[in-house]
Amino acid sequence: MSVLLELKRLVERPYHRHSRVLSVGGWVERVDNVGGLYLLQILTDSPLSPEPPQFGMVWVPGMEAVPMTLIPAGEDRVAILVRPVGSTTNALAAMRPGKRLMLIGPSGKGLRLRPGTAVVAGGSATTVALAYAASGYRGPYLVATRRASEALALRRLFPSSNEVVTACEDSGCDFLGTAVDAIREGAVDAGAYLIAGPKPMLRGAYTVLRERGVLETSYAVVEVEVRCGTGACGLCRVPGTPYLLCVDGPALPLTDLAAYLGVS
Amino acid sequence: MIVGRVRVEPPVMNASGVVAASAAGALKVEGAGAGAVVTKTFTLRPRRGNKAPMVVPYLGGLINSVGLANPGIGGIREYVEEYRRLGGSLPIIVSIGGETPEEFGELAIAATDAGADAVELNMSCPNVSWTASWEDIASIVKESVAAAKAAGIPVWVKLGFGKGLLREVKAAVDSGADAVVLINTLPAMLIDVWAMKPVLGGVTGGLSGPPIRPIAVKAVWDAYREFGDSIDIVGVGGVDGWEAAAEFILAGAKAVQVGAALSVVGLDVIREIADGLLSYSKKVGRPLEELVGAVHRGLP
Ligand SMILES: Cc1cc2nc3c(=O)[nH]c(=O)nc-3n(C[C@H](O)[C@H](O)[C@H](O)COP(=O)(O)O)c2cc1C
Ligand code: FES
Repeated sequence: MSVLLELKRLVERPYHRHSRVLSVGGWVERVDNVGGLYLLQILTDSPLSPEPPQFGMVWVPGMEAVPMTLIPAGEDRVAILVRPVGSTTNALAAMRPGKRLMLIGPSGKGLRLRPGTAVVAGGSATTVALAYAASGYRGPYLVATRRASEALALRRLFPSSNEVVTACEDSGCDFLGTAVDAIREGAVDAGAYLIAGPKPMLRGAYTVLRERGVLETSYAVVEVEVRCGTGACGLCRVPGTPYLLCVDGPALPLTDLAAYLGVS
Repeated sequence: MIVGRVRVEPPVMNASGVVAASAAGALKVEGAGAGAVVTKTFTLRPRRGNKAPMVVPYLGGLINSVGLANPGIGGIREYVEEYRRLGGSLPIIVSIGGETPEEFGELAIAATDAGADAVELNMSCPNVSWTASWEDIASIVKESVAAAKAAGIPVWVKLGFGKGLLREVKAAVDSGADAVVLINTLPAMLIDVWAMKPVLGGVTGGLSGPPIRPIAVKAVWDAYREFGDSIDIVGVGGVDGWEAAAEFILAGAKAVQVGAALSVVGLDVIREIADGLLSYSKKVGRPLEELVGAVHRGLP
């Protein structure tokens, strides 16, 4: 190659490259009450194209931003599932179509699942399962909530062709008990798992999956405090690991999480 | 390249406050091919920082109102020791933010005791109240450098762009600082016109990334023109590839730091800059050392 061509190739690289994380506003298009949770369909100013389990920072202007799993919802749209627990989430839950909110995302890395991987999602992380379903992943899924009404309402959001097992601590679900009980009892049997849920659930799942010999193929979606969500501030270290949630996560290999989960 | 009495090879680092807020982040910067790591700014007392959103992507850069969130002076030793224990081998530049020259002195001793290779005095964060209240930054630079030098390790001084910049660089030169780091973020704010409210949790913040690059290059160019080789310059502001890094070097910087681009482009940008600078130096047939400030000499 001539020197000039080489020089041209060096300089050709686009000067301003596409940003990995965008800041956009959005308009609420639709709000559905799903067993006490609120599913917000948002029309975004520009496309975010999240890949599960990527998340975004979402807020009502003037309020504190909170991390939320982004559910793909077609071009220029995303959805979020809100559990009203704090001031921002209460304000989000109270939003009506036509209202404006703000988003930064998508944050973290997408994780493409190998066919046959079971997605086990519990508590407020059930959104992770919805995000995979919306992206076309067929399951199997295990959706675990405390109350049956919530699990059954969530169940209706999955395409009917998806394999979804529900687990709750009162009657009405496919399985009576917690997510960890359900995995232990074989309610969803797979060679690999993606576990999303509160820390005690991840800890329980870690032990069961280790006994099963499928730890190496499995991942967990981890929740730690997220301050910026852009990978810039570096304040979201997952304790006991070399990982930053917004850079490496939110899905991390389960084998690397022993110290974080406090299991020996 | 020897920069401010520290060997930084390749001459590319992360910018303070970006990614390397913990030893885990520092190891990522090392893994990405940097020649040194710069810590988040440590203050005497722990700081929680501002509420989210505290970093907003903007025009290929970022506006942040992090507000120096850090664990305080006690975190310095923990950071440096953990970085070394986990196998970190690069020179480590501990950024410190004092409210007074005495505090800079105290923080510099803590950094030295912890095994830092240099301290970078952050005299220019737009997100804390005390720097805004400094009336005569040049004299504070002078006293703070003197206090920090007593600790014995190289002292770098990080300054912000403003009318008094050259006076502040002169104060750093006169007080025997080993390098100046130019520049910090520029004061900025964003307003959501529909909500009619500020976007950032901290209301105002600092702009970084490509939008501030020409200003940062000018700051480096000015400082080199005025002070030449009497102080080393580290260029920072909108470096998002090797051409941008080369601009800073030609203007007079011996090394560059990369902030916003680590998030906007990704950590791999560090290796791309390091490799790109090397091929550029080969293509133009001169070692990087000779290219420092070349634009002032009209090479080739
Ligand atoms: C999220 C964020 C946090 C920062 N925190 C600090 C800090 O703690 N100390 C400091 O001296 N500069 C801090 N800065 C400023 C950067 O070190 C750098 O000077 C500035 O961002 C310009 O470089 P860039 O355009 O490459 O980002 C921060 C910048 C960003 C984006
Ligand atoms: S919160 Fe993850 S990098 Fe800032």
